[in-house]
Amino acid sequence: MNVRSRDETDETPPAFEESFRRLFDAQYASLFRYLQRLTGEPDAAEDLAQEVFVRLYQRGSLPDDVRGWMATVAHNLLRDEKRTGKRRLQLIQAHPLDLERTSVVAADEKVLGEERRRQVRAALDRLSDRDRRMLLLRQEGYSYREIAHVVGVSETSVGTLLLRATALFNTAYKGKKS
Amino acid sequence: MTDVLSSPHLNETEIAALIYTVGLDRDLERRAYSHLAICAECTRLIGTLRDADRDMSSLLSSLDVPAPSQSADSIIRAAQRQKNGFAFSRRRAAAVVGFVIVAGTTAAAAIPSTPLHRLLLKVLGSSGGFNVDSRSTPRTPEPQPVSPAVSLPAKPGAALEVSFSGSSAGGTLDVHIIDQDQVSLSSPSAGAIYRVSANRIAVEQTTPATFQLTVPRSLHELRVRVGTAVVFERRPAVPGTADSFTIQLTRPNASR
Repeated sequence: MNVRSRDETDETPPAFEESFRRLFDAQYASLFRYLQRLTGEPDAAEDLAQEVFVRLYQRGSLPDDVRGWMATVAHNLLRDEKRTGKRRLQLIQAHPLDLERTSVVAADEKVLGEERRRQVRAALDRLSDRDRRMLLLRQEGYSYREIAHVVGVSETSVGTLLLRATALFNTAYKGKKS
Repeated sequence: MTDVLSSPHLNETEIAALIYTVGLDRDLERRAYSHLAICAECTRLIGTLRDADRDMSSLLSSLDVPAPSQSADSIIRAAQRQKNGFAFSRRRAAAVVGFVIVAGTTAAAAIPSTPLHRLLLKVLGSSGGFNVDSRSTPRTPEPQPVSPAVSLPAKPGAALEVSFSGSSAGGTLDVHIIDQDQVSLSSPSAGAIYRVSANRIAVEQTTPATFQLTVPRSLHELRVRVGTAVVFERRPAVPGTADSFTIQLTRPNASR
């Protein structure tokens, strides 16, 4: 005997679809930004963010801690990809954004901007994976509880860990700058 | 809670509250500000840390690129395409496997020299038909298949075994310890069949996946198997360790 998954049997309830659309509109840009900062690769961040929302839709219901769920799934996908070295399938045709991405940087700031981005990226890379994720989640407005759930630390230690991670980041950035 | 007025300086938790969670703990903030009113050193430190936090936000925003203009509709279409493709390929694979089993068994039974043919002759010849002796092996009831997310009550002090099987068994198991007497197991991916019996959850996988397992703090022992290999076996809630951790669902001798 086998059990059919709800994916095969159930129609997506309209209420869920509506909630999903609202969530997508509210969270897609934030999740993309988090992943882009985390990976340093806009294309990978776009693929990952899309895959997370695809999986959320296929789940058929919103988890209680939906932002924590999304960050956890995104990180697991990223880890799986790093482990297997596999190229993700392009689920949705990408928009021709590369030109747009470069054009947002004003020409006179371009050189300075590139150098600063390189230094910031290098400072982030100096942090442990946990510290990096904590700082970036906090930047996206995640609560102590959400950060604790995603990163796997106790809620009471989040503030202290954030303080220390911030200090490490600033030290690393200043070290790179000088 | 530390009395910030009686201690020489603010501790890290109190400092973090003034920087990261402003407005969430009014009592702590009121006492912390009372201390800041008389402590120039802590006031300077808070100012420096707030500046550092602002600087870091500014630096991190320099990494940003505009988010791709993506719509929920395109995600929903992609999800439905992927789902339909998966369901079709799974049905087709099941049909092919079924056909191979039936055809193979029939062919083996039809060839006179095969062990299956001899076995059939022996059984049919000795009893005139199939005779199943129900006394020979005491049967343990097979766990019953259930839905893709399972939840069951756990008695305090009980042990739990979660067993992953299938040719593609693997992935990760994120374990979260909770203060309730309830075990639950779920996964964002749909390619798994769950079977539940007393103190045991068996998961049959068709593809490696990520699973979320919540267990009560009172659980005496958690054992996780991948195939026949035990990859985790101990009390999950150990004092001094995190309430969440991840177990790699990899057979110890598996090569990648």
